[in-house]
Amino acid sequence: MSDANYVKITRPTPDWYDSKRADEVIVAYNTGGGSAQPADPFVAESVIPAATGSMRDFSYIAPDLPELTAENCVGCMDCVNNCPDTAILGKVATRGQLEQTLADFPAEQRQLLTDQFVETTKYFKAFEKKHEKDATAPEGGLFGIFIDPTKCKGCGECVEVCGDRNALKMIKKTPDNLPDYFGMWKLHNRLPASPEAYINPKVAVDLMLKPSHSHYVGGAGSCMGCGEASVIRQALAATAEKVGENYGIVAATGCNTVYGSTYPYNPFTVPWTNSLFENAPTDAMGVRAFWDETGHDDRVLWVLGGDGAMNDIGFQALSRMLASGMNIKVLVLDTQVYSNTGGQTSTASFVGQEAKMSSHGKRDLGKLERRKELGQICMMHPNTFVAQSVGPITSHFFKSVNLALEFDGPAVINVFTTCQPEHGVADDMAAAQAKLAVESRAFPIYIYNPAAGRTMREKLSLIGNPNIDRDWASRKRKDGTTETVTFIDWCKTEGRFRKHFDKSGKPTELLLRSQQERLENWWQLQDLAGIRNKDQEAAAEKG
Amino acid sequence: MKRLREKLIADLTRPRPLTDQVTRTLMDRCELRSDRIVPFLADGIHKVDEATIDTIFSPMYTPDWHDRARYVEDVERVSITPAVLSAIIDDLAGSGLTAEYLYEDDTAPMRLPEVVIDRWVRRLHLEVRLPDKIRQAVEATIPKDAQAEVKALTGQPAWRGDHREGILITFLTGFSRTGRFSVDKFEYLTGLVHTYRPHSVDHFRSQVDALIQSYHEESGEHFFDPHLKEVYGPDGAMSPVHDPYGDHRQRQLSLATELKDDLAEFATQAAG
Repeated sequence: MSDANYVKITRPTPDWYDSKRADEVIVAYNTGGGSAQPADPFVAESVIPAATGSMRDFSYIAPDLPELTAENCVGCMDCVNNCPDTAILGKVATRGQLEQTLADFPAEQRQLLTDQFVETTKYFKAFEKKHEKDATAPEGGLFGIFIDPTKCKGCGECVEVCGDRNALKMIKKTPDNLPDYFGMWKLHNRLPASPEAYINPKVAVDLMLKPSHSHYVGGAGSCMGCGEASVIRQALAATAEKVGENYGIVAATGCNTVYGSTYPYNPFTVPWTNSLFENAPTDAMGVRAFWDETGHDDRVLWVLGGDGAMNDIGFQALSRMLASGMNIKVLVLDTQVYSNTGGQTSTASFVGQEAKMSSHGKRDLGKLERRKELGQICMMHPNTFVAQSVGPITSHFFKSVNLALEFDGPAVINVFTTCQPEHGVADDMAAAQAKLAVESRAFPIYIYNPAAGRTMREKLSLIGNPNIDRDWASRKRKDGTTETVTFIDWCKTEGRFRKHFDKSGKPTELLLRSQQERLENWWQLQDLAGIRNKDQEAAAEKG
Repeated sequence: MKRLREKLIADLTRPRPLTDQVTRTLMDRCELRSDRIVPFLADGIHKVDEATIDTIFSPMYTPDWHDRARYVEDVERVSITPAVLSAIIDDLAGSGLTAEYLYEDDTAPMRLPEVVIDRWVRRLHLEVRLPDKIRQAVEATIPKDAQAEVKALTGQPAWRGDHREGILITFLTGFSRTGRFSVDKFEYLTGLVHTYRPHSVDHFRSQVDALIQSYHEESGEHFFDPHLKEVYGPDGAMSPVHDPYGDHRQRQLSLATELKDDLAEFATQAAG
């Protein structure tokens, strides 16, 4: 097996915290003895020791594992950022560090291990050029991508986001190749952390090169390819860059709390609490008030919750929290459905969407109400920062998080997160579907920053959406012809809208109505942002 | 060398659609509005650092073995040392090459940055020459119209070393004798050899057996609740609309089974 994976927590622990007992519990659960455990202070306090998810072993689950073709890798970190399970990590090493570490490995393994590294432009050539001019500057670093076989569930998301770079492909996991993965992971763990000199603090996607920024360590029971978990990882890495470990999380009940706190596995290294489904913002107000009164006003406080918690049952609590002006940041994991309880409609669901309690049948054709736009509602609260984003458009996402953290007051970031079982998409499609949701106007991205100006158009930016001044986006097909990307085109790719298409692919009237509703939502955003719509102007000229 | 140069220039500069992945990365990493892409490629891209340019354009300029196959003839005709390769890249980078990209209803010209040229040319592995015995074996056993592709695949490092070359010869001669060759299968075989690094034909046979066994072990019942199966199962309402990777896995299993059968057939023929 690999070297010990357990992430060491350095922060002080309470007096009653029994480290020995924590180890006993994890070992018991890892070896099938969980149900025979006696009660202990952890159970009594409803506490799960931090980062115990790092000790969970999923190597019996994944049917496939990603394989790296190092020479094609550019070090873009897309695979690392979009992995929901902290199962694929990047590492920069100097040639000296690599040689020194490899010396401890059997000779027959060394070629395989060396082959995991590549001289990229980003970490090698750019640094070599500087080193040639200034001998004191660091030499080029070697870059490698490594899979943790105990965390990878085999969703293939990393391969999908790597795309035409073809640096990753999925291969079948077998008894012959699994030991190689453990060997490579051992090398990753034995190498020192990527030297700071190679990490550009201005490049947000590189934050995950820092082990100190991995505040979500994996080992969570989320579904293969879960779109939520990768977004949480990215948000926490950005927070770590701003304030280190000086923050806490209040989570609203939902998928995120189920996979995030399945005893005894805790994927978080930072303080995290869960009260109820409907009251996370209220709970957070109490924490904020206590921290502020006890001299901890520098601490960041995150609230995590799904669209059910924030749009529906907890909406009032959220609205009250925003109105309070308290410095609390909210990350909404918008799957447009109650994923945790089996796929019921939420007010974030799209018109026509097939969901439990809005089933597609003879009388009704799925959800009939319009989608509630949480972001736009939040914008109308006083002095509130709002962003709507998706994780795989990484610069936009990290910018949203950074601005939210810098904003002196409440902030809400509503993020489209793919839920494979309830959206009816394949395990490796979280990023692809989120990006298509943006391009099809199903889920436009924007940043509303009250600090950016006085007028609405100064505060609201739609940068990041394609064809910002048109009704629909367009793109080139591989054959060179142009196609328009509509909401209907996106619906065709998701099982939740399957029943709206006949055999020839013709959509129902309801779905066309849903498309019109999405277009009107886009027009509203364009109007608020002061964007002139060329298509509408042309239509008006024609009369 | 002149012909090789012209071929490289034609490949690098041929008009092509700006792919979705490149467009998205360009917009994201450069915080660019889509209606500014065309002028940005003409005037702004050279202000971007090389690493970002590499990240943005690598999906369009990472050659695969199909691309390498188109250069096999050239590589056999001229000797390209690493020094010569670097000189070719320098020459092309200094030539002011301009590529044209099709984007929406427009054409976007861009002077090719050196990092893009370097990526494409270096990864074609023009410096790799097949050992004579391998080249001759390919020419003697593989149909002429597939020889360039097989040579490109056999040029990969996975096939180097006495053990692997022995395995390669076994397959080449076996395919020739049995008529069971296909390019797809040979590509898959090359991938397996890369992953498993077998040291003999028998070793490889056992690895293929274990691979097939692994596929079969996972193909059991995944649903224990009939209602869940009805909704989320293979033909359920919430089954994925599009699952190319699932189809790909089926194809992989079929190719692995074919390779196992090939080895059995080779043995039978050799015994007969």
